[in-house]
Amino acid sequence: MAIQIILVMEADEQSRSDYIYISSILDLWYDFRVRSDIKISRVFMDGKGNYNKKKIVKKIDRAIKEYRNGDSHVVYCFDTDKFDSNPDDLRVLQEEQKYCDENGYDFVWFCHDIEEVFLGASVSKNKKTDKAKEYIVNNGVNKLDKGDFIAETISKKRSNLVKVLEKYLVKNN
Amino acid sequence: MDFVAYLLNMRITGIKCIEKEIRIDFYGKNIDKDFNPEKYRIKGIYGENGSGKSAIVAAVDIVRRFIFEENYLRDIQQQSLLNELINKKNKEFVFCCEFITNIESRLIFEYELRLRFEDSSEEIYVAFESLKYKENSSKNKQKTLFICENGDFTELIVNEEMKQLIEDKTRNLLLKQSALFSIFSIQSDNNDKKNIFMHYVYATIFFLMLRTHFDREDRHKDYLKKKTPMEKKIKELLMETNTGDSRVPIDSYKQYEEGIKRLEKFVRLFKPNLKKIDIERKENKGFYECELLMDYGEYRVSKEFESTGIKKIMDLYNVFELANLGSIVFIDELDSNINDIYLCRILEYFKYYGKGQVCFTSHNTDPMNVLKDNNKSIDFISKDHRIVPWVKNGHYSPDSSYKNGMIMGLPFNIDATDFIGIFGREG
Repeated sequence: MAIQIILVMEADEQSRSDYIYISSILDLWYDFRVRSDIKISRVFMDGKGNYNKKKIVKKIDRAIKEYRNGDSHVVYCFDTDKFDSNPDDLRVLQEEQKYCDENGYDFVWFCHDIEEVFLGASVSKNKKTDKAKEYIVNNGVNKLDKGDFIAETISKKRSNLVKVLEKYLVKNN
Repeated sequence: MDFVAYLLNMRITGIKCIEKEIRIDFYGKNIDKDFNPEKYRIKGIYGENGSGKSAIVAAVDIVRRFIFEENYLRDIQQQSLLNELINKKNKEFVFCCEFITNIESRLIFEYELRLRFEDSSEEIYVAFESLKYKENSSKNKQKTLFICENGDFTELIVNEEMKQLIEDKTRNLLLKQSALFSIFSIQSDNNDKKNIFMHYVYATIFFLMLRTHFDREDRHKDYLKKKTPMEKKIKELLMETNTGDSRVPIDSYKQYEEGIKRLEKFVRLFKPNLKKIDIERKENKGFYECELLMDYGEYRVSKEFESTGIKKIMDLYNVFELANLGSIVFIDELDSNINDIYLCRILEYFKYYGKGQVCFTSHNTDPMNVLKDNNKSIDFISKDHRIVPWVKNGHYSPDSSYKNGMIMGLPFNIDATDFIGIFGREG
């Protein structure tokens, strides 16, 4: 049975930095390019605050309706930000998780942000794209520890990305 | 509906990357008295690079050449080309099609061909060829005309006297040449015009009406050069067009000249400043060697040095003309070097006013908007070489679904960011 995974990411359409990191994992561990039964659709939120905005919901709905080859799974990918030190960030994170739960979407988190998990440290907003490119060019994916992507609870420099993906994709040997 | 022959469907296995059988339907499954192919005459086949689109056209080309070129399988060059084309894993090329002819009565034929090679010799031979038919409706009982297995007839329906003659004349030959065309030729030479023979004639006419056009290699021209005497006989049954730079028999020159006049009008639609196409001819042993010169008033240019796009348009003219005369034309890479607006307009003509059948492969998605209203007009060939016919999906258009990777087996997961690892290195 074919499946569609709709990745909903914080990055904007132009930089796509989140997708650069996530696709490196899809490539290395799931060999998704040779698979004709896996469709990866991308929705860029252009800021996490837009996660429940009409235009984002519309894009997700369209992808689901247009795909008739099997089930579609929506995977929202969020940075946790300083949830452990800033109550506002904690509240936002809880709201995001609640939204995912209520809509039957998967909730993927990167603690504290995607760069911290993939590069080891956060980067300033204006350097996000360059750092993501650098990561690809330097084969940064080979330095990753798979264990950091199957975390059960939110913790520094870790994520549940692979844990969620493996609900739908079979890992390469 | 006035038609001579119509291709209903075909099944292909074992050519290039196509290991598992693919089936392409041009019409619905049931054929009855209401059969009307009017809205089923154009099909576009879309897919990724390397998905097997050209393999489909190549398969049709092989079958046609096998049937009409007596020495096709005896030619060393063709053998080596076929060795490259036939799937190495399958070691067998299988082509099966159903078609209708509507000449004196309506007949539904099923033709099957299997070309095979063994590891030991790599020599390609005919493992199986058969022709069966039904009368009028697909619900009627199918009858066999012939079955030829490994060079011997296991069934052959002709009159008794003719049967012996055919068996004698084809002994030891049918591993390398078409039984269908052999039966047709022998009966035709012996003036056997009995009812059952005409079935062979109609089937042969169908294959003669089947045409292929490749972007890089015009095999149709090669075929014309190698025309056998028997094909000349069949030519009388069909009006042929040939308007390229050519060797034209002197007695056919007038017809050729008329064809060039029509070509001139056609090209002028795209190049309004073209005044005329001149033919420069040199006589050579009963033929004219003809070169086409494009006259733009202030200057003339040989067709050879025309723009690639205009040359493509001129080449396509021949195949469209054949389609318009009722032929079944397969065109590989229809869109290459041709403006997409022109392309859509030509296809619109065939959709609304044309005759014959046109099946093309393309990467240009614009024609999908021309085709989408007709049934069975768009097929996709998936990454793993399966045929996925377009089925209407709400208000989503086929081109948007295709581009968005929503067609089964064609996820198009590629993203602009994928090129960073390739071109993104600095210094």
